[in-house]
Amino acid sequence: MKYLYLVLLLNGLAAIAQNNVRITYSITPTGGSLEKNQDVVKSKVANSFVGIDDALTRLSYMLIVKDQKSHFYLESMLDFNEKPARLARAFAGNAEFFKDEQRKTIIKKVDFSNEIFYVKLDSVAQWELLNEQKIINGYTCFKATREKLLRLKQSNPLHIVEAWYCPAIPVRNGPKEFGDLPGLILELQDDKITYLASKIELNNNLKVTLKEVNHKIISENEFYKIIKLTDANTAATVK
Amino acid sequence: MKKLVFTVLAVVAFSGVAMLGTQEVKEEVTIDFVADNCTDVYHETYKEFQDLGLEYNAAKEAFAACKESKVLN
Repeated sequence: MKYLYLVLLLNGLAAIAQNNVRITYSITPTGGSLEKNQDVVKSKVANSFVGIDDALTRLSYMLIVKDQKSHFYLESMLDFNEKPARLARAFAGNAEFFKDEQRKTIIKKVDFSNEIFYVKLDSVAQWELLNEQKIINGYTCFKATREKLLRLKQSNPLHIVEAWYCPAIPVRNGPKEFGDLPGLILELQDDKITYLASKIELNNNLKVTLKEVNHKIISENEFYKIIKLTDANTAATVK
Repeated sequence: MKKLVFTVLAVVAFSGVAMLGTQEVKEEVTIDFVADNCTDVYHETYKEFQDLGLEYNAAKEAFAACKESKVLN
């Protein structure tokens, strides 16, 4: 478990009220190792993932929350061209997420095939709040689960996402597209990757700047059509 | 005239002797097929990456694996 570092200054509670928060998430493979994960081990491309466990530990993500908007993005981009680092980023996620709580929108910024797309995510499945709790670095957290669909995955396209949220930190947010729980998500298990809040900065004087999305936005359906078409074109060039 | 007849006989006889040792030579043609399984590598890698949940990266990684297989061959 990563060390949770909570910086709560005297005026921190006021900051929470204003929702000016900066959270760093570190990454760990769910179950301790991605290289030893059964799906990966059984895969015919298992040898592609040698060294990925180490590469994952070097990734960190940032969630910035200001008022009712937020931005989640990959902070560290070390070893950009090395294969394990590239695949670690593929597993943990290269995309950025822009959430607007008031408008109930989540925009995903994706770099696909050397082109940037801004994709408005469809409304997501509801969380199931469970009566399970655990202490994460002194904070009582509660468990919630929900389904996630990977449209292009042929076998078992649905998996369960597990979130541990902390009602003591009333920030309805978390890694990636996840949030909208009665407290900040301190731990999130999304399939093979687990995101852990390693540093939380709550400070009334915290200066956070949120990027605005001023680009053409497409729907998830449109984006998946583009993926399928691009993949088909790529396959056609392979001879 | 005798000389001509003798020459003709000699040529015919020599040809006959020479032809006795003639046999058909079957030429063996070997065709080498260069193993280029790039397409198979592409599709297999694509499917495996999709099944691991890497939706956006499958094609890129499959293409890289295909090129790698070409280099190895």
